[in-house]
Amino acid sequence: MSTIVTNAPFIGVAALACVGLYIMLAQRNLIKIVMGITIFESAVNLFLVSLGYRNEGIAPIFTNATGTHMVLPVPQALTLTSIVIGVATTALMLTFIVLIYRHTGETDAKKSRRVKG
Amino acid sequence: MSAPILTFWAPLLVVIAFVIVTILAYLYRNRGESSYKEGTEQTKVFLSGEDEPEAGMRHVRAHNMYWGFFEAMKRYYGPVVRAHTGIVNDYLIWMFGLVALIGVALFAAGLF
Amino acid sequence: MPLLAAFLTPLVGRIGSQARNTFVIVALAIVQILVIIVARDVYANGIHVYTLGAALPSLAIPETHMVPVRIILEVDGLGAFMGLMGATVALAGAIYSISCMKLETGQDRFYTLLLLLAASMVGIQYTGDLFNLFVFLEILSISGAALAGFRTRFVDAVEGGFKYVIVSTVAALLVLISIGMFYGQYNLLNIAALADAMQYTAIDKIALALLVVALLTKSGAVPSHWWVPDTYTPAAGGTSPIIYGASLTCLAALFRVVFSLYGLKLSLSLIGWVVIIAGLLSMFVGVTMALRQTDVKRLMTYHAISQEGYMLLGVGVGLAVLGDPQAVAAYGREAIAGGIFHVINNAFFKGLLLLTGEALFFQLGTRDLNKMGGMGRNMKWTCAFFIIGALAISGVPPFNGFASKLMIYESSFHLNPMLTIIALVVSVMTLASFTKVFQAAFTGPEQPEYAQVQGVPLSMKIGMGILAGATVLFSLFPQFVVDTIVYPAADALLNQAGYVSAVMGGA
Repeated sequence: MSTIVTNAPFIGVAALACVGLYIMLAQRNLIKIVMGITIFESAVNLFLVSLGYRNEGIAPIFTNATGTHMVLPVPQALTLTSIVIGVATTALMLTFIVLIYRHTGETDAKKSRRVKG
Repeated sequence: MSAPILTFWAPLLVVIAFVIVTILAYLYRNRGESSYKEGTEQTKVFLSGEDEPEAGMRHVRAHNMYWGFFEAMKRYYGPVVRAHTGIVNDYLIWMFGLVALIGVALFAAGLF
Repeated sequence: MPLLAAFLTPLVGRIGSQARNTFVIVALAIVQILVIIVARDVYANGIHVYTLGAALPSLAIPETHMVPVRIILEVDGLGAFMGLMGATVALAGAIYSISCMKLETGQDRFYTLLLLLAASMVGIQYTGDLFNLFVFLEILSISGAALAGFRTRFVDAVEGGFKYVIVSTVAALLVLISIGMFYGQYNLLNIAALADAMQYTAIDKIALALLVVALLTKSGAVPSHWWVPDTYTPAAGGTSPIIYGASLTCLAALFRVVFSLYGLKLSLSLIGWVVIIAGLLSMFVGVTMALRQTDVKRLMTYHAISQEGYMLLGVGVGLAVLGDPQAVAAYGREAIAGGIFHVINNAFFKGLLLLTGEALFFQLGTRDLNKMGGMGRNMKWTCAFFIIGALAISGVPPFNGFASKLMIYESSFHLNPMLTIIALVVSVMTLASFTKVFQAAFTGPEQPEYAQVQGVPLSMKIGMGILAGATVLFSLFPQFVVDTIVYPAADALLNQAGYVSAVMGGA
């Protein structure tokens, strides 16, 4: 039981990643594909943050700290960077979907493609 | 080890050989007939008496080239061209399939 | 430097379009010069390490710690080599874009994106830190996708940009997962420190699979090449060669990861053969699909995939024999050098061919080969550049394509003769498809609807001329180029211990 509790974040990561993966691979609607990518990205960010957890650690703020046993700050920095990058790429993807809709009137991955082969 | 491979490169030699052959070809060409008149029947394309078709019909279009090659390789080309669907989901399926394949292969190789 | 220029460009653009164009060209020229200076320094003095934010630039390991904690830029032979390539291609593309993009709106943003793309290309090569690699990879994806989909009035441009950003984002996420795995195990992000501490555990194997597939996808190798034709074809102005150069830097990042990060601890023949098989498939599928195309630029992008196969083949052969020092000395080093030489050759002549395709589109308004004909009379310079590029890419002597392909043929022959046979057949088919383009577009009788078309504007000729000149230069002095630039890069890849000790201080 305690293994499940201590590994709960990683189980969450796996669940989110599977959901995101299924949506990315199986859904045809372009906006749903972007949603799937966002969910997968959240899974990866959760993975990064939960890597840094140390048992009974406190938030890694150095000034006025109540103790010296802190969780690792580096994964938090990595996750912040990743979240910001995710925002930028999601914005770009959605812009492209709007433009594709304007050109073709479709948001289906199969019906809106104009190039193949 | 390096010396035997690299003597075949010598690009300057190839260029010099090309220039020499071009000069020889030019000299040979100058030995031909030079007593014809421009713009008369003598310089028109010979098509067994027919007229020359217009420029648009004369040019061989791109999709007509290599027809024989495509016919011969039909069994290869059929699935490959159909695999290039243009659907984004297929792109991602290939990527994740590759990850699974290489991961399994790496583990299998480590076991032996 | 390019980052600074990228952010200044919109400000300068307010002064006027002429000032902005000059600013961009000057900035890229300065980048070119800086890269050459760095390269000479690296070739003379060995690996160059620069720590961001430390007291002394070479102080990689802080006094109180055992491992490098700061972000480190580490330039070795491979990094300097790819930096040279990136800077040249970016400069040529930017000069080409000046007249190509004159009629488009939003030129400020175009040049900003172009400089960002150039910055990310150089950054990926110069970094010694895995997370920095990820950040630059994302910068590359975003700016590349925006440039590919820049001309939003064409539906295939928008579609190409969209597919690129989706595939790139997912690939970058895979890289991020593997970075997380490395961090969770070793608490390190620095490539050299990780190489030192690496034990080849099960999680490392998963991370390797993720990294290899993600970087192969980003560089456009079969079977993850589906996005490449859609994206390179409609890329605006002179950015097709720059996006192609960006994919080549992802390929070099793959080499960096596999050689310097894992090095001798891999199960080598498996990964080596994975790379070789990816290379063979890329070559064959790329060129056979290229023969069928009727769109000029799409045909050339399938060739880009096929030539990536050559690079993968060369380096894969070297990788497969990495554990065997005798084989490495005999033909492994040759193979890696051939693959790397082919990278820079390809950047030049494939970039040149992509620019000629774009020139045809610019003048004729169509990319359909079925509609073209007889342009050799009207566009003489484009025709000449096309001939140079086509002969070089097919591996016809005396061009540099022949030099690098010969190195790859000879070394892969030692490993398995079948590889060489497939590579030769693919070379012949490459020449066949370029004959098709040449016949359809440039030779033939003059078509009546194209009678008024004249040659391309001057800056486009200069852009193409830079790449053509580099091609010819590399063709005439291959021995010199290989000794000065390529062999150090190959040795840098093989010398994992040197890479590590430059950062860790010989520990």
